Amino acid sequence: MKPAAFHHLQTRLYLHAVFPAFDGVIKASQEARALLKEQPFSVCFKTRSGLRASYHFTETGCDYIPGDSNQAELELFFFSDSHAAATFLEQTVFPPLPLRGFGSIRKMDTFKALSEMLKVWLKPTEGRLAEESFREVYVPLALRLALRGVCQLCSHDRSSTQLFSSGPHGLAVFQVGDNGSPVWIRFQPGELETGEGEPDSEPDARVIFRDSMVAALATMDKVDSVAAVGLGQIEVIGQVPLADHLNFLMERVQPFVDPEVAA
Amino acid sequence: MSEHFGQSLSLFERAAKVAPGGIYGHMSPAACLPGASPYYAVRAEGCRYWDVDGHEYIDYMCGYGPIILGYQNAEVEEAATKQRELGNCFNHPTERFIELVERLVSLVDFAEWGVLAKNGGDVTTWAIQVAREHTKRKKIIRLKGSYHGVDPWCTPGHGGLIEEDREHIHQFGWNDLLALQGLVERYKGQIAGLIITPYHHPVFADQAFAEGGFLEGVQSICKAEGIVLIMDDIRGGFRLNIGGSHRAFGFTPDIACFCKAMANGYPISAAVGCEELRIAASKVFLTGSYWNSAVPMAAALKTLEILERDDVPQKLETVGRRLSEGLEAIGKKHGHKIQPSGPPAIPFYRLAEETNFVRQQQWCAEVMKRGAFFHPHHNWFVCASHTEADIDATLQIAEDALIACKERWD
Repeated sequence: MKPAAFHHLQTRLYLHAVFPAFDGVIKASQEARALLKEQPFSVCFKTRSGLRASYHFTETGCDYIPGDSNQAELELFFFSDSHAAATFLEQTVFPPLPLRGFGSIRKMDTFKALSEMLKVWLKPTEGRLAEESFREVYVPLALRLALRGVCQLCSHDRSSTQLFSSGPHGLAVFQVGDNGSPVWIRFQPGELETGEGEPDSEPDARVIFRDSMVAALATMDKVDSVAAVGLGQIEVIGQVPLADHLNFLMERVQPFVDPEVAA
Repeated sequence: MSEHFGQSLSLFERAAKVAPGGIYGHMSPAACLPGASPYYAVRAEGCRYWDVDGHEYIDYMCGYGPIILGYQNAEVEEAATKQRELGNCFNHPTERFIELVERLVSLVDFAEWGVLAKNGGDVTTWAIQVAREHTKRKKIIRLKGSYHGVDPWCTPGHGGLIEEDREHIHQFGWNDLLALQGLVERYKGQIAGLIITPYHHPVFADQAFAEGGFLEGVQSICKAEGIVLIMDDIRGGFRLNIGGSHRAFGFTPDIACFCKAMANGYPISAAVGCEELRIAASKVFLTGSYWNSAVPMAAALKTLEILERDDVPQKLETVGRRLSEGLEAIGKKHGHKIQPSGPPAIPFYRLAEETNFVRQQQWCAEVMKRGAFFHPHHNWFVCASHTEADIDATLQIAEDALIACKERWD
């Protein structure tokens, strides 16, 4: 893949798959809520190529809007997708151009602080991973991120769209334990969306992780998933090929959003 | 996993420590009914086998196809033993090689030559190389959802592949001649071969026969465009027709690939081809450490002899029909449609009321508990050892299982 195409997808995934995870972090983190209590803010990111997304941060969470938001107090423009990608990956680059909200630019310090928290949640240490309470937040956060990433790739990455069109389709649900709160993806032509809670129709495939540790390790690609299924640590009910196909596509997200780990 | 399969799980735990996946490929628990199907077998006889937990099953997978006469067939075992006493692995092939290739060439109407290997994938991959050598073209056409082995050009897996592996592999749908025409137009003069199964046998879906002159159409397009037509008859070969499945479906390929039913469980596969491809075939290198082993060839010779002598394909068809009619009647009796698909000798049955296979998995799990092996997603196989009594016992198991499921579903 050419660098420009890679950076385009990278930026797209940050805007539409990674940053929407702020909501979960704010809801789970007292520290994040404290940061936003006195200074809620909103920001819209735009790139020259036309990518854009807006985020409205309050102490109750983060509303993600997949496009422009006139109500965003800050509007930041990136000169290229690689400029945006480098910024999101915290590489040293010149800052984006503020198109709106010059007076509020200091609020981006809060965004940076939240980004640091997001990173801690999404790249847990072994110590954090050992905490059940951490995993309860981490697993749905990481799963939703990966599923949102799949939706983006299957809509905008050539090889992923080919895989999407040729592979099995349907509604797949992922949950921890028999009664766990599900996250789902509707994966069919014309319908690529993710959500939380029990979907309104019967899923074609349901993946049940025996516990949150198995789920966390599986999400991080640190478990032999074929053996785990045989051992009963992961149960796949229904259209197994759909779950397998999604697993493969979810793995394709990682090199874009965390190139260091992928390397 | 329930205590019912305690020993299976215990062995699997050991395996998972030393083997990635524990059990890999099509026999992985992940590909069947994890926790609700046996993982390890101990012994087998006729149409039955026993798992490590001591459960007996009337088998409808037959080793995923190789067992066509029944496990431990006395005549085949005797032929194999006789050859084993002489030796199996030498510096050279034995006369068994010539005898077996001669036999295959005499059985398959269009065949003028043959080669032997070990697995189906050995010969399907070799066959597309022959097509490329013969035509000096790059592209290969295959069917969506078909299985031809685990080489990079065709594996259903994802790991370890690069995009270039399939740069020249193109797919079209079963029964979709228009799509094939489109591919042929698009890649005119570039297509070396087309590999096709004589009927469609995908997993997690009904099997399908050709409609509206599809196979004849495929053959005609291939002939007109100089494309080598390869029949992957790994599953159906010698089960449906002793001369190859193309005889049962009315078309003639240029190369046919066989494996599963050849030697009643002994490892061997074969490709046979038409005269026009002989020179190309001679140029494509093929070999393997065990490809000249004589014991499987002796077993294959005896198996093919029995298949012809006893008209086994007809017997399989009769037994398969009894199973099919019985299962359909059970479904009807209990308000469910048990949908048959594919040839009765290689059937697949599923509950037609759903598309997600959840009830199907529950039904097959209940069947397994009661002593028959029904695969929930993959086509089944019947063998010559299945008697009417075995089928009737199976039908009782299937009905009891369905009743148990209904209690959960209703």
